Amino acid sequence: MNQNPHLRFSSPVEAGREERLKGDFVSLLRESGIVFPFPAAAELPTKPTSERVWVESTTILAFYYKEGVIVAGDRRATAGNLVIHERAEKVISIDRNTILAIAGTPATAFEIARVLQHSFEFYRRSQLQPLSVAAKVRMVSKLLKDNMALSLQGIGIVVPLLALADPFGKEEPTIYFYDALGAQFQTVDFAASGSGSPAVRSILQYINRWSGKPSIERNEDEAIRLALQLLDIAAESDTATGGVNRRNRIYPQVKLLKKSGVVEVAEERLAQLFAEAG
Amino acid sequence: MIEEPYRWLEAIANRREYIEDQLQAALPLAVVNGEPGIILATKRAGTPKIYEIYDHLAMGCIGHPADMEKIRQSAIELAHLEGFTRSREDVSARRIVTYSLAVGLKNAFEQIFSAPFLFRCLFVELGEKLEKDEGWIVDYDGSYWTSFGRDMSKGLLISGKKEIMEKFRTERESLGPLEWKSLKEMVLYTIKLILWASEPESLKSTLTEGLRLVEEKMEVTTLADYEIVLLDRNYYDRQSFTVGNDALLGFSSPS
Repeated sequence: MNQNPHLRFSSPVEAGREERLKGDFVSLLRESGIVFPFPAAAELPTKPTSERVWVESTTILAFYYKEGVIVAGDRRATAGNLVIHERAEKVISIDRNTILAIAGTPATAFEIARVLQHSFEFYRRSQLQPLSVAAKVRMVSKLLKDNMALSLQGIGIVVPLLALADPFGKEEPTIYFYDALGAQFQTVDFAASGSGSPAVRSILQYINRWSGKPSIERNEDEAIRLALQLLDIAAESDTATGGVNRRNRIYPQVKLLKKSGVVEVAEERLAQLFAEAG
Repeated sequence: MIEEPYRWLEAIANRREYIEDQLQAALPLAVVNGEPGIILATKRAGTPKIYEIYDHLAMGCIGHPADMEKIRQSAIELAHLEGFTRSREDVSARRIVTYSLAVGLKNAFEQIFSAPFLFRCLFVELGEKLEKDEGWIVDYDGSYWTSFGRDMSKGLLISGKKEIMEKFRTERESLGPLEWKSLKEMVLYTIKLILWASEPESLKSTLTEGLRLVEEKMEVTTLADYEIVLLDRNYYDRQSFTVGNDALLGFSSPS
């Protein structure tokens, strides 16, 4: 039932409005007849539409550094062996204190990001207080769980990373990673996802355990350099990871999350730091 | 009653009289724009009266808290649905006011067998440039009045007293174009409008004279008594709504 979006000054205690009054944007979408893109499992064919098992073609990573969290991702989007886009944006600012890095099916991942962006703002504006860190973490989990049918079909898997700072600036920023069905895990040092992530994990394990200078002891410039090097190495062995393309001036996306909120790192600075890294 | 036109007209007139009477005590709320953005201000009360609606939209209201809340929620829902299904650029004050807010309020006002909305608001949209700013005064009966761009620098005002609003709206035309150089200047002018609208004597002299008299008596060293919001043009493409404080608005040094 597609509803006219004109204002209806209905009573707040009217049936069906309770969820909206709690600041639930997803309920509002459903109530307004805007079909949410996740079909129920029953609506899907019983066999996978593709014999190929989906691999999240990308590399995204997040680790702690001295002043907070750094989140980075390559820019390549692929369809099988075909590179279809070299400037994809996989590291998305959801609000002033939240970064989502996406790996998996772009259509579903971007939709999840848009729902989150609107949900967090809708809650903050309607309830006159920001959504808590725990609630944000749960919401990502719920959206992934709602997407289970597509994940099981092998056509809509999303495996994101989430970095959050406390909206009141009291707690240190934190990193969460998820599995495709919505299980959430808080990480103590780093997280990586996507087809190029095994290399990243190995290197970060080594750096944090044996290098004498774990990532959390590195300053901003050192952390950005490390993130660029990690993505460059991931691209060496993974065709679906873009890495650093200096000839065409395509650098990964890098965002910092400090207690004060999200900071985007400009391309010029990335170019300079990558050149310095040798 | 519906089949007797005279009785219907009488009921509507009574309704209008009742609402105006209920709004009488409401504190005035003013808006001024300038290069840095848009300032919305009112005297501080128990509950906030100035609300964020969307990235570049805000609403300042007077009236019954429950009615303000209902309309605020509806406006937020509408803006977010529009922003989600289309894009941020499609969320505009003009569309929300003319196609939804005004229509809903008029319908509610004419439902003479239900309780009316005790509500009046100033709905503002921050533009990328000053010339693109919009201000809409929307009343409980769905009627609205608007001001755009540089004209908003003279100020917009809502008050519980209709005659004060009418006087300001008529006489503001005589004010020359106002160029604000700083946020502090904008805030002081907004407070001057609020104080002028709060003075019982304001109806007895011209607006220019009244503002001059207010300025002579005015002493603002802190903004603690005022609820002030800045729609910051630096953040036009993000969340521009910023709650004002002494340091931000130039009334004290940042600590």
